[in-house]
Amino acid sequence: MHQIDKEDRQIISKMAQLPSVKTSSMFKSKVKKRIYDLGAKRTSSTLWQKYRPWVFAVFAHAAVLFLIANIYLHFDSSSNQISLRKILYNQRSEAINKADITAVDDFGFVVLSGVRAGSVLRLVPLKECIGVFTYNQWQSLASVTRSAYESELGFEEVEVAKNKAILLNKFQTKNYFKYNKNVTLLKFVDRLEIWNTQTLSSYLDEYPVDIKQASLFN
Amino acid sequence: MTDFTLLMQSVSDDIDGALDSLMDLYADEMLNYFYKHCWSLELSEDLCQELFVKLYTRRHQFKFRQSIGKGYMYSIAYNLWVDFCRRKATRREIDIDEYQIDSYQVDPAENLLFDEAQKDVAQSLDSLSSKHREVVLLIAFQNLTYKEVSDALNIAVGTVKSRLHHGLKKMQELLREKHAPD
Repeated sequence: MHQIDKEDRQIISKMAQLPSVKTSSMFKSKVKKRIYDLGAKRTSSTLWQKYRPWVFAVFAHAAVLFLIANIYLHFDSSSNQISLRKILYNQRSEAINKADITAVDDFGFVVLSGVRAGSVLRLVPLKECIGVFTYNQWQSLASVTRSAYESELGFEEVEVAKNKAILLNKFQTKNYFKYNKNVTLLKFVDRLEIWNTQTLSSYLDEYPVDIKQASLFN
Repeated sequence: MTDFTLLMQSVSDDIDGALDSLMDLYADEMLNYFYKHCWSLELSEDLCQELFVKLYTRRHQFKFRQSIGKGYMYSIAYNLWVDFCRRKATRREIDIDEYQIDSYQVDPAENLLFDEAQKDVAQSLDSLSSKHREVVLLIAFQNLTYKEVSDALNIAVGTVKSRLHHGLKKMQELLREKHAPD
């Protein structure tokens, strides 16, 4: 096996002293240009060129996520609608069972017999519902309290049906039939309930229905 | 994995700028490889250009030979040089088996960059047969390992060692003859 000896090293070191050459930038440019003409990718010179694939990837992912979220929300709201309809249907059935119903109008309002035409029972827009009382309960309220409801909360009329009473606020009373398409959610109550904000929240917790979604019912 | 292998893989994957890095790293080395063959900067640049073009156009073949690393580049370079010599030899009707490159080389003796000692060394190198010359060049100038030379020239490592030995001994003899008193 060949071992490099001293003489070999001497001649190698002599060879190492032979002049060497360096590539010029012009030469490199010329070669690179020729290769780029063959289709090689150039070095990205700007940040945009450097990060362009990433930017596109992020946008593509965002678009896909947005699409998926929309599809999910679409089906989710559809299920909410179904859920809402079911709740309202159950409530209406309950009302029909418990009350002396003569008709149920197209909007889910229950019309009772024995009361004045147009009277409605326990059907109050949820977002505007203040309170629903039975007649006796209403009567049992202190007159001061009743006056306060009537004046401060804008109650104008108390519809009474047998032992039941409905409080509608001014807006509802005047515009019930005119604006009933804006009634968003109906609630059956056959006992005293003061529906303040807290009560409404409890109700919504029990029946997690988005009020905005509820308008779809109409 | 060597720098060369990584860079060639990047070139082969068409990664932006990989070719630039390859050239920046190896252009000088390969230019000198050709220069030591022909002592002509102009010709060396032409051959070096061809080498990088070939490295690019054959980039997808590299994955099949990536185990040989830098030897891959040198095997292309060597073939380019041999092809060049054959073309010249054919044109000049010179025996291609033992081509004498001085007919199309710049004679080191005429190179103004060389001093006397360098001219002697260059001439003794040129006087070697192509087989021995190639091995001496790759090991002495290009600092390749025996394995890399073996891969580049597609010969056994033992053959590399043998050719190196004979090449160096021949050069020593020639230099001794030159400096021997008349």
